Amino acid sequence: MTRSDTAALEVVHLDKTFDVSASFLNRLVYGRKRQMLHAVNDVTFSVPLGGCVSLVGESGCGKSTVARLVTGLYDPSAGEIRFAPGKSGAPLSAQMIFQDPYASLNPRWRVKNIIAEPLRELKLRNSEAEITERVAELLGIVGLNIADGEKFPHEFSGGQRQRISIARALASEPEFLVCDEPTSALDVSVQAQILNLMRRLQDELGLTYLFISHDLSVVRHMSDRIAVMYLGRIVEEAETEVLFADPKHPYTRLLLETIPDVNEPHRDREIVAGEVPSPLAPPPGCTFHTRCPLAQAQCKVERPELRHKPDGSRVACHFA
Amino acid sequence: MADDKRPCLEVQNLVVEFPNRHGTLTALNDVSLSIAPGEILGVVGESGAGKSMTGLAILGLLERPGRVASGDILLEGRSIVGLSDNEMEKVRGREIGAIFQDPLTSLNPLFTVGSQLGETIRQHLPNTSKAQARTRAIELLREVGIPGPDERVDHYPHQFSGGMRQRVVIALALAARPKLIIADEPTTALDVSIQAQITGLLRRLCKENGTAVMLVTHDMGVIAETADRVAVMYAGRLIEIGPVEQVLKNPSHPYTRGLMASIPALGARVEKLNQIDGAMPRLNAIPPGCAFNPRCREAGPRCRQDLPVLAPTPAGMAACWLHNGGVA
Repeated sequence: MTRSDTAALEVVHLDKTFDVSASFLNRLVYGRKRQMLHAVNDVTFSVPLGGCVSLVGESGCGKSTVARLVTGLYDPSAGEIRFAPGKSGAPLSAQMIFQDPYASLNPRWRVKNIIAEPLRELKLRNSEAEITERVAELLGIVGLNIADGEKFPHEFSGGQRQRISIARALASEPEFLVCDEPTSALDVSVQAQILNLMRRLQDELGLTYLFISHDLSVVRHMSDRIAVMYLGRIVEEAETEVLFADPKHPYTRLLLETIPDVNEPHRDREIVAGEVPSPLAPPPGCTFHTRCPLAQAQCKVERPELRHKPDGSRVACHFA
Repeated sequence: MADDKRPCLEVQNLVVEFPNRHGTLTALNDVSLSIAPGEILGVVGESGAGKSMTGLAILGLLERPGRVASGDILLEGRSIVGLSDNEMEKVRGREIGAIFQDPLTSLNPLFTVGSQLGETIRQHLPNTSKAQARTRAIELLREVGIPGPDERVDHYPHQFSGGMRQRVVIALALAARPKLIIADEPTTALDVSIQAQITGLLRRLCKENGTAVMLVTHDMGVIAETADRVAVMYAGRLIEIGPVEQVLKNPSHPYTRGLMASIPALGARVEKLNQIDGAMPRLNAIPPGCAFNPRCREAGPRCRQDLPVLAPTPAGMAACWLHNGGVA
């Protein structure tokens, strides 16, 4: 892997709030209040050029919102997203691979047109002949046949569809890929094919990945650094091996404990209690205190800052 | 475990077919398995392998034109294949409970969980009064670990979180104290920390009540932590079955071995994951011989001609010529 110290992407104090209030009329008639959902709260991280950083967490933790902010699908409420200059001097271009290959491909288009769409939209090729050539090349890169270009998405299995999504994402020659749960809709044997393909592409094309997943075993396989999110905030961020060897935040430990492990199943463990509180009304202080085994009075009032540790990790916990 | 007690469920040489205008698709082919009381049988396989179909066939919920073409399903020795819709309705819920993947679609959003539980209880135990049914509903909610059941019984499904909703669905499945529960991907829609709670709960309730459970999932990790025995399916057939520890630690069938190797390990990081090339064949294009032969690295001439049958292996039973006289 050609990881360098230059950051390909820097995200600084990123904030995103959504207005989830009732409609104006309902507010007027029933006296409902405006309600804001703070989906991403003061998130700071950077992705090294040619590396892979993963965001993990349970549903509602804001990881997908960060992905959408980074690709510009949402505008940030506050904070900054800075891409480093790419090969051409302009900021790195980012593309996205989505979770569900059944929903992200137009069922009425032939595969060759799906892959050619970015080329046509962005006028990256001058003639149809050049577009056809590039599409054939892209199909080859992701391990599909040229003849597959004539088919429709429904003729492919889930894994092959995800290959088509990857080919489409690569069409505009991006240097940065945001992958939002790219394998969670796939079967494990196919998941391995896609993860191997993504690793190969990273080496061959020098891609940088921001990887979003809830599956820690997949994340461990793919990434150099991992940021664990809980209710819109990063609670721990560390190098992959450091995080797995020495998880510091109690939430990270909870996550690591609860992943079903095929090799060392913990069959008769204690059932861990508690769930993620509603992001509409996050608890005061440390948002994890409602589920934390270490929680003290201090945790209920004072929010812990994300502090740097000697081993290069960052942790937001009073007792870590 | 299955030997000393009469099995709760026995599926014998089950064949499920879907006739259509191009011919007949065989979705399940010669599937035989049994579950003892208090036992959890995990059924794994990729999408389209027939694992959910097996559960639906047992519940009598095959969608037309699908039908059981041959074979038998015995619930405590009594055949439930070919029962009328009315008779089957009495079996479902009363004797076989079901838990499906998405807890939101399994519950009616317009009724409180208490009235839904009460309806199920009164449906299957007709001599219960409304007040008794309510008390029982509160008891059930307590049993599945919902805090404050006295209040929660009057709440609507949308007032529960995903994990709590799945607990309500489990309570519904348990309402009539069925002998068998079919749980189809019960934790797939849930987060990992909640998933652990639900599988733990399922395991506890199964052991306490002696309920047999068929746990259908694609997640080997869930199987490893929950099931007693595991059945692996591929292209509509059962290809390996045995005690969970042996099958997962020492799988016999090349497909199971490939499947286990393709799971990214939590323990160590490898440069390249072991992958099984290709994809499972579609039902209308199953190759002759062993259905796995085009993807199998160890396939020989025999695998391309003759269909392997389940034969004893160190880990249980597997349908592979490697364990039954060689592939040549």
